Amino acid sequence: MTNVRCPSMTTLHRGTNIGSQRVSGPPLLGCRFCANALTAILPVFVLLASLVVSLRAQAIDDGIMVPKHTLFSGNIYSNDSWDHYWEGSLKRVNGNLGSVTTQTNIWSANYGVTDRLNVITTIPYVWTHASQGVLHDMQGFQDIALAVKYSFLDRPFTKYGSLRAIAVASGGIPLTNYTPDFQPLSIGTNSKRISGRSTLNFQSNWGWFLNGSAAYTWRAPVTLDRPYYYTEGHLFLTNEVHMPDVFDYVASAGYLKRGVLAYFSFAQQRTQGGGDIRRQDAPFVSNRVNFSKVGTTVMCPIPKLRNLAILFSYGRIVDGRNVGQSNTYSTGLMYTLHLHGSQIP
Amino acid sequence: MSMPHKQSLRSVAAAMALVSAIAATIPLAAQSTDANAGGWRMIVLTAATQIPVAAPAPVTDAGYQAELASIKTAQVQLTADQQKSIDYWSSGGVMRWNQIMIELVAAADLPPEPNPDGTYPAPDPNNPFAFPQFPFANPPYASRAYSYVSVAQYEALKVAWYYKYLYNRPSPSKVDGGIRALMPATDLPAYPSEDAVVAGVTAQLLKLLFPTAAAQIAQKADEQQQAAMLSGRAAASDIAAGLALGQAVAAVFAARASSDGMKAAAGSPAQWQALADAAVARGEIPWKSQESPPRPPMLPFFGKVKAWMMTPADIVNERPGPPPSTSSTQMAQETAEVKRSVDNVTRDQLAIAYKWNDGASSPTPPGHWNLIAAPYIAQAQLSEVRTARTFALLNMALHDAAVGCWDAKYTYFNPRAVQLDRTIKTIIGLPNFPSYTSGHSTFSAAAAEVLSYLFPSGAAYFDAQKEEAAISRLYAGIHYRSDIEVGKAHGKRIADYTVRFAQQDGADHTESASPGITAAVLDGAGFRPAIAPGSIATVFAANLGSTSTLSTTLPLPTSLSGVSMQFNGSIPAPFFYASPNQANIQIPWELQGLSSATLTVTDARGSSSTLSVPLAAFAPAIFSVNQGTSQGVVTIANSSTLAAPAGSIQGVETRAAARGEFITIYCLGLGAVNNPPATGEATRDSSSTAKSPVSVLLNGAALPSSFAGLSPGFVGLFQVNVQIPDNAPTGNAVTLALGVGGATSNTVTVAIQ
Repeated sequence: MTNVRCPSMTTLHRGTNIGSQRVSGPPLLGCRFCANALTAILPVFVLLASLVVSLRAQAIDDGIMVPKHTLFSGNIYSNDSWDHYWEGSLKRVNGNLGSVTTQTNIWSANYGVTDRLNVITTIPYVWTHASQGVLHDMQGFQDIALAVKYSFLDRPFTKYGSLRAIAVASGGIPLTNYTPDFQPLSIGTNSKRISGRSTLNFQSNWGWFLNGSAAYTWRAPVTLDRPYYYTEGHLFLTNEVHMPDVFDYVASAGYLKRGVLAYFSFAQQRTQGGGDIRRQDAPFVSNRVNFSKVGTTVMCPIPKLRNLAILFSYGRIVDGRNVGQSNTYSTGLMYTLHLHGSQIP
Repeated sequence: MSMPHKQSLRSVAAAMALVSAIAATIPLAAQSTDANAGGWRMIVLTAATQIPVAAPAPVTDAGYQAELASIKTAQVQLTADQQKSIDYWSSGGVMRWNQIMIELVAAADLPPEPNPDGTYPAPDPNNPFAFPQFPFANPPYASRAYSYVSVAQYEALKVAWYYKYLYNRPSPSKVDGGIRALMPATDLPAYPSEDAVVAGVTAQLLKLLFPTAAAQIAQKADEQQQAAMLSGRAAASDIAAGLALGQAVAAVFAARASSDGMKAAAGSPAQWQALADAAVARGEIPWKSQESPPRPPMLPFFGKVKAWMMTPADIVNERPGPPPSTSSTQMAQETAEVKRSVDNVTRDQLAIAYKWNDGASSPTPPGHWNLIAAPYIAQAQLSEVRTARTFALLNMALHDAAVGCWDAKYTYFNPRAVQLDRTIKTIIGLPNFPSYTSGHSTFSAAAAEVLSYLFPSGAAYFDAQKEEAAISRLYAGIHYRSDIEVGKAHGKRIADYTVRFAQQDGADHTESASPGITAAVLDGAGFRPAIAPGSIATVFAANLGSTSTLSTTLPLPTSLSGVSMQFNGSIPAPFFYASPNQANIQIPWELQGLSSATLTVTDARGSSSTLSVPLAAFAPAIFSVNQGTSQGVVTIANSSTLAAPAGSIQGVETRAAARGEFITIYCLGLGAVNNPPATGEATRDSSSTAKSPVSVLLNGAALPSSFAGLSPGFVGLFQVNVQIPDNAPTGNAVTLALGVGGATSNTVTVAIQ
């Protein structure tokens, strides 16, 4: 009988899907180097934000398209921690967890098949740790994600800027058979998933931009190692757990010009079902995880290092349900590689 | 009224072959109905008769007929929801309530959240809805809850079975062809309704154990009774009697629960400190809660809660020896093994640890084992009473395992490995009570032992599950190896108390070392517990011998196949027949006037057991052709022809009796007779007449008998002769009963044209 009641937080969607901006070519960028760096960074950053906590691979909610025959690859490290969490709607702390930290390292690659069609993949490695109590750390490769991104609209809009619309189909598959039944220290939910997303981006000629993106995610049932579980007021005599769908959106506004990016974002996730964490109980894999998150990001090219850029980001969950009130810090390096002699325009 | 006795007696010679066969070798009723369950040994109740159930109105009664009419009406108007409910309860009430209870436990398996000041509130049974809600259904609480409900169901159903075969009222769908049987139909008599018994006893106890679910429980109980009625299985009066019976049994168990030591099981801060101080005084490191803030130990005095099959002395006697000293090399090695194990756990081991986590929001380990047992019970298609017995045996062993394990845990107050080595981390929540011995190991060994006895074909599977459950705790990092090994052995020893009971409670007929402690003594005609001296009785017991033997000489022998029986220590009982599981004897005439006697069964090796047998001056019982059907062994006078519908019984000549004809009713228990023969001796002539007047109730109307007394040439067998009046009702199943000395027999049927 356990008396340790791990508090909440599924690994599900601690990150937000922070919107980013379209970088559209020479008129906007002061140098080719900067353009390369930014176009490489933005999509990966978005990947990070969504995969830190790994559920979906929505890399994908920015307005950027990678040019044809260009590979952008990089690595982003993220540190997410919380001590307060929402048990259902009750905000609390838990002495048997203290502060729960999730570190994530994501390697990503984004390849431009054409200027309008990008293929993106990400591979995260996750470590979890509780600062108090007796629960064991967990670590391992989490879910590989693959996304196909298509820009179906890209044109000037009014005399002030241009508009781009993008559709993304993505999916994720667990790379390892990690347990989803040790929340909040499981490294993920061990659920296959697919998402559909659409993004609309307006970039002004002076550098200001607005971005909006929304997605719907379907998740496959999760298989536990035990023959029963209790959630939503019922005992289920099966090891298979239905996973509710997830809706999320993100809106962002900021400045992007000459390789320097700064913006604020607001994101919300709404899980379309699932139960609350029970009083003084551990979270369950199919809990209804909702949150509102604000964030800010700054990034710029590294001076004198060709094709390399660095980013910093901070995000905080301001309200939630069955989720930790986390602070997330991220940093990463991105590299641009031109294949087949291609050039960024 | 002029039928000569002699002629009547002589003419039945051929029919007597049938009677003899029945009297001498009364077959066990079909496994599916367990007709003798009314005599299976009780656990908490003293006897079935402790719970009185009044005789039902005859099926011809106008009130009963009205009940049947309302069933017919309801069946015509059956709604989809009602049909769904019938389908649901068709799986068996005991099985369904077990599922419901498992869910109630999982819902209530949440520990209290700490107060802001670092203390912990206790769930309050007087204010169950306030946080923390009552109860916290942790493993000891759950084991006790499962056992109370299971044992009470089992006792109540044995009482129900006793009265069912005492009164033999068929189910509505058997009485009235216009009523459909919408649940699987058996020959089980309907009064009192087993479904209502289960609803009554279960709902009453569950409401006490899980008060926040009272509304849901009441609704389920109502649905179950409604389904029994709508399905044609029970009439309103069957249900009312069953409900009252169930509730009366629940009251007995509620009284036991109020004084079984549970109220003191949580203890006080001073008592918790005393446990730690005692460990220090022994030179050991005392257990400490690893929670933050530290949580009081889980039910430290549950080891003092009353067990089912074990006395407090048994609990102490079976207590394992102490764990390795906390300062010993062995403990250091075992602690290191825990760390090594949990830090290097494989994925398969992780799966086993999670499979057997059984932590918060779970049915707990006892519930997990109920889930393992359920498919075996379902597949065996047991009667309701045997289903209840199976869960009762399992849950008694699990409860006693909880008591024994908690006794050991708090006797030794041994720290967890995590406490001795702070670098050890666990992959499931750490249970908040001492380490030695492992609860999972104790529970699982106990459950596997009982289930392997009940379902030998599953023994290898149960054993494998037990081993997996036990070692899972080492993989999880929460138990030392010695907790596990000692716990398994302890659990098995505890379960053996239950298995020994099961071997001798009258329900099983497997080999055991001694002749079965006698399970039940029932009258030879209807399997009813009331027996009159001089009559034929059936004794159900285990291991009466290895062969079946029929007596062929007069006087009847007092030993058969090496088995003998004595009443009150000295009065031998003559045998008609003995088999490994059953003997048919004559209750000695010498016991007349007594209200009870002890029966001692002795086998050739000299081992024996005794049982108290209730006696009655009058215990009229009419033989019927088959258990579970109502055709009486009634012949047409001066013939060997049974007064049954023509051709209705294979190999026996039958026809309906005509008005004006005499019939002969073969029966038992008409009380004292004139010119009684010696015990074991046959009556020589027709002079052994009943001293008290015997009335024949034909279709409810009393008729005088022309003869009532012992049947010449037979031992213990009575017959009653009566003339069928000219105005008698006709039909294939006219009801017939006997009344004597204020007692009424079972009701049989005869065919009259």
